[in-house]
Amino acid sequence: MSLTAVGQRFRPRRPSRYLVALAITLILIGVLAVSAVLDYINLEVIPSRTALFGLPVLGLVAGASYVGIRALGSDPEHRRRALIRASVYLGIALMLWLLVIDVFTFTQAAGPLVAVICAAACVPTTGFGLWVLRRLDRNEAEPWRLVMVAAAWGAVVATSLVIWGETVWDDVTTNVLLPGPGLDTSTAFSAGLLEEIAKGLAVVLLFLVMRDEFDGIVDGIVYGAAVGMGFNFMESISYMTHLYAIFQPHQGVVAAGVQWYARQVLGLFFGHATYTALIGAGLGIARQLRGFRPKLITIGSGWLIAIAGHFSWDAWLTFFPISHGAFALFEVHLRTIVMEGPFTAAVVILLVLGLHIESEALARQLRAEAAEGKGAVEEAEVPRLTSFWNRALSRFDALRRGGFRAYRQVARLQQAQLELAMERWHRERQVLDSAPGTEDMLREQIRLLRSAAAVR
Amino acid sequence: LVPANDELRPLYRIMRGLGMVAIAILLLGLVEFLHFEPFEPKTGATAEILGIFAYDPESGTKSGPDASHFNRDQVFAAEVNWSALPPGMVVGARWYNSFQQEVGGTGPKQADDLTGQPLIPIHVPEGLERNLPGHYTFVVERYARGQPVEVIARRLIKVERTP
Repeated sequence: MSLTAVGQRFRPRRPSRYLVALAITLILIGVLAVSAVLDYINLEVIPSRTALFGLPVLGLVAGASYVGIRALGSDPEHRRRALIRASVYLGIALMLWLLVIDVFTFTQAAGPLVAVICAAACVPTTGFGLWVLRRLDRNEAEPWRLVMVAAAWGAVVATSLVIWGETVWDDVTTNVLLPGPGLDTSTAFSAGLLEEIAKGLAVVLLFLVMRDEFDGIVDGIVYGAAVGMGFNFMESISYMTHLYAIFQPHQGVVAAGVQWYARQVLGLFFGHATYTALIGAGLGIARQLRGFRPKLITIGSGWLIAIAGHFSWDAWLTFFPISHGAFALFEVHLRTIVMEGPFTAAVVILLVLGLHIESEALARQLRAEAAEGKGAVEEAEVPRLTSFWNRALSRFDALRRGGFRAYRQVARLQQAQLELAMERWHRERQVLDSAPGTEDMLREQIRLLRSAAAVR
Repeated sequence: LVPANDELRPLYRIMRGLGMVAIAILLLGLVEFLHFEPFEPKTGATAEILGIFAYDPESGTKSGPDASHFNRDQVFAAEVNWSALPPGMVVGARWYNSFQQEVGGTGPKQADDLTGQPLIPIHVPEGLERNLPGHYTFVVERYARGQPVEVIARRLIKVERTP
């Protein structure tokens, strides 16, 4: 089957995918808007006011996403300007959201300075976490812009979605259920269900809209974990300022510091990052499968295990009480490892296995491309391209010989060759979802890059 | 569903296994919820909470009017009219702070055994010098088989952050 025929076969599926994404986005915005207004009128509690005044932030994040995604298809000059504009929107949104939280939730007690200090304390740790996540995909690192968009949606949109839901759930159950373990279990169900749905929807939108950058399980894990890390960032600030306000003046700093350590150091890759990574893993596997049923099973399983993991932490935390003695620090670490470790281990196993399968497939496709003699990949290049370390050595060799410009040219060449191999793999699996002629376009791009890099 | 020779089959099977583990965890959670929140026929009994008052732990007496807001340094207590309940009914009362920690209570005992103890004060959690701020819930519960099964009175009050 020709490439054009393959492209035409899949072309009609794209609009429906975008329509689903658009419908989800509109529903999300509608739910946020209606619930925020209703909550504000009926309940008039602080979290509801936060949701109401957070709507402009939602608009700014949506605008930033739109401008940022449109920039992908632009020429370099327009792309740069559009990305700067998107970054500015995102920056304003984040700052405004922080301000909203600060002013309407915590300012009266913790004060704006405390909120800024808490946020500043979380930036380096979350930034480090996102950097590590992006490096996990050794074959094709995800674009920074998408990783940041994922984190921003986790921090701003997902947290906005759960504020109203959890407030309503809490109000109802507190007045209906028996206080104690039953109510605790109900609250844990609420957190697991609502927070994982809110975070997972961001990964679903990336899966639907950015299919070119969502190739498989590794990408799914990276985007999912980025969303979770964004959520964890905002939740950390919220808990730190809240507990500071409660325990000030004598123990406020200690309380906020303990929260920072628990969420931004010990729990950075556990908890939210792990749970949403599991949702991303399910979506990533579904990306590579054919047939509705297997897709449904993997996506559903990913979501269920994320909800179950979150639920088990919230519901059964009291089974591992922390003493007031010298072993408290040890117990805190042990509790995290025992309760959240198995879920994180599952993500690591899926990641390692996914990377192995992906690397094998890319090597196979690179060998096949070289054997076809179309000039995009040569036989001698295959061993270099199939090894992460050999690719890195090639880039550093270019850096030594031709400076940073040469390094960048070789890096772009390698990236284009791996993208071509990935495209071939999707075609082999009959899950191709790109525009017709993409492989030929990539070959032409490789030819131009090869000429520029002069590494032939 | 996924052919045996498919390279993604191991991933698919792990994911499916995780889905089954998830269902088991959530079912266990549901069982736990049902254990502590059993389907018990309601008696229709209602306990009478006479009010929430400032409380002096030294003398064990209340003071001031019924209130719904207190400051962090104030000790307060709920007053319950136990004699309004059927004498043989096993009941208890508990205070919970905003972290759902139990911070006071009495029982479970038969209602007529509690008539001499109408005031149920809160106590400051271990390691703290004064009350935590936030919403506090006071509940009077009916007991059966050694566990609470029905809330027969409930009252919410607020402890302000600033005195």
